[in-house]
Amino acid sequence: MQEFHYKVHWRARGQRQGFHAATTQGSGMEFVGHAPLSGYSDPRRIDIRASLASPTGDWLVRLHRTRAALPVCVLLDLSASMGFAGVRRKFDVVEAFVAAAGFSARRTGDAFGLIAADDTIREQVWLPVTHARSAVQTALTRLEGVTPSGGSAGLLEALHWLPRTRSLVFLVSDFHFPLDMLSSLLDGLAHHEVVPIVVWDGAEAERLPGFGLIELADPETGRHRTVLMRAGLRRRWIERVAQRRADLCKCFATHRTRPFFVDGAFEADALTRYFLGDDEHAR
Amino acid sequence: MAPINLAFSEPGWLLSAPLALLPLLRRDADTVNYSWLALVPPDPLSTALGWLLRIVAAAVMLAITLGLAGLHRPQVPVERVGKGAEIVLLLDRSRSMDEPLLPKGSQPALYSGRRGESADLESKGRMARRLLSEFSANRPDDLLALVLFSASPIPVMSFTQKQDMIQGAITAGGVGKGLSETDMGRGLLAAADFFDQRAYAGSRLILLVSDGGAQLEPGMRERLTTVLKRNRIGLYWIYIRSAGARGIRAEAGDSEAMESAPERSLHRFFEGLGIPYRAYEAEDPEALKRAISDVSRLENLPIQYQEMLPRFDFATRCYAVAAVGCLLLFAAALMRVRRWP
Repeated sequence: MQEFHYKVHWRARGQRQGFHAATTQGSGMEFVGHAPLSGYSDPRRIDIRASLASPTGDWLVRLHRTRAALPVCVLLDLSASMGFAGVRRKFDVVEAFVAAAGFSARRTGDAFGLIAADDTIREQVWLPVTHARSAVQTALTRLEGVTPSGGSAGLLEALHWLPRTRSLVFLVSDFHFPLDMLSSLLDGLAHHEVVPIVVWDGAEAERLPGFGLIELADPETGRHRTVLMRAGLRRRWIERVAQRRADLCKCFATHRTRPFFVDGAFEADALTRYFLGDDEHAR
Repeated sequence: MAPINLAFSEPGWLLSAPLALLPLLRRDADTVNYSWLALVPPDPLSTALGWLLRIVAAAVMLAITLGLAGLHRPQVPVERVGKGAEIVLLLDRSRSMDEPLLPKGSQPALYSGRRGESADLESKGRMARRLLSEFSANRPDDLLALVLFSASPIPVMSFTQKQDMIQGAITAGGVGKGLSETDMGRGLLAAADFFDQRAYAGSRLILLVSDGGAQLEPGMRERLTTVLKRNRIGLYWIYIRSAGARGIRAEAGDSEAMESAPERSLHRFFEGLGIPYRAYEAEDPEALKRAISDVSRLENLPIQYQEMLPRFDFATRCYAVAAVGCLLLFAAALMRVRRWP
């Protein structure tokens, strides 16, 4: 099972001890300041040097911030387009990512949850945010035998199923829906730290057939289109996909987030680098 | 032109005509899933091609249905308008016509080979048919009918304007040998009968091509006079001279016997009929030209007549359309991509 490292740029608000910098005071290495012993009666933390220097003559106690756990949540798009199988099945990539995210969350000591939606919430896949060590297995079991279907409209509804506290939300989708909807979805997620995981397949853009007559079917709308594939159209197609990628990046940028593109198999190390500020997968 | 009316010989097959709508419906075979069609750039050519293939498929199924149902146009009478004269070609088909035409004054010689098939001498029948074909070829606007006669008249073809039919009928008269007897009176009556029960729509003419006269009985003469006058028919006689005969026109030095030869007496009878009558001798190369120009001088009235348009079967064409469409669809199927590479 792959593992990636993640961090957020804000302080977690959780009460549970964990990995992330938090606003909670308690035992920890991060010094906040001094407080009178009368207020914070913890004689173990008496700072003798500071107390001697204190102009008021009070006994001063060192205050520290503890590190806390963070809810990690995967918001999963199960619309029919996620069932696309090109070079590899998109859903395999999704499962690999959910496994890695759950595993990484457990290793980091964070709670893990999974919410999936197509046109509505997929309640049978729903895993409420939990610290249970079995969360990964539960999530993967619930994803077993799931067939993506329908549209993506349920994602907007899924916003209400997320934890109230600020969380790290992995938004896993191929983002094959209008930019307006993406914009309102990101608006609804503004409260959380959102990491868009864009699952695309090589067959959607680069590995197009060179020539032929193709009857395309859209799994979400069920509409058909006949396409006479030829060099000019292939070039325009690839350009259009590149343009879509640029549009997505722009939309994410206006919502102060960077997308993580998965064009082939999911690589946990690449995601770690993403959290370290590497932009290689955001292009 | 009459309105086109179509009919089906097996209308039961038409029940399967709605099947032609099937290709217009969406079908899931041969489709390739693509995650989002909005990513596919708009392409009018592809869209047009997609609809074209669907319409071709529908047309193929419709064409096959129509073919199975036996689409045809039943035979219909059609009004046609010709211009010129109504002419009955009356051709002598007796055995004497198989004999060669000899130059004036020469005697029949003994020659080997089949009768009438001598290498350098054209038989009279063949010459008559040649004259008639030239005549009809020069009068494309006339309505022509053809009657052969020997012992009894054979109506071959009723009035038509179609050159190929006329020429075919004239050629067909040359098959086989003629009979020995000649009954010109009944032949003329049969030719005149063509005009009976027929509205007077233009100049009427009988063009008689014959090699000899006949002594007509008084009764027959009377009937002929009546019917020719009643129907207002003109008579042109192209006379093909037999061996030893002296021609229809009287010449100086002709004996009494010659004067009473059948062709002479027939000529006199025709002249005395009181109808437009002209006689030509076929030996004279100018005779035919004169005959044609004489006919042209006749009133060129428009002639109305009815013709049967034969039944026309469209099934073969339907299948041809279907076959061409199937070829197109087959080519498209060969180009089809069924799996993503």
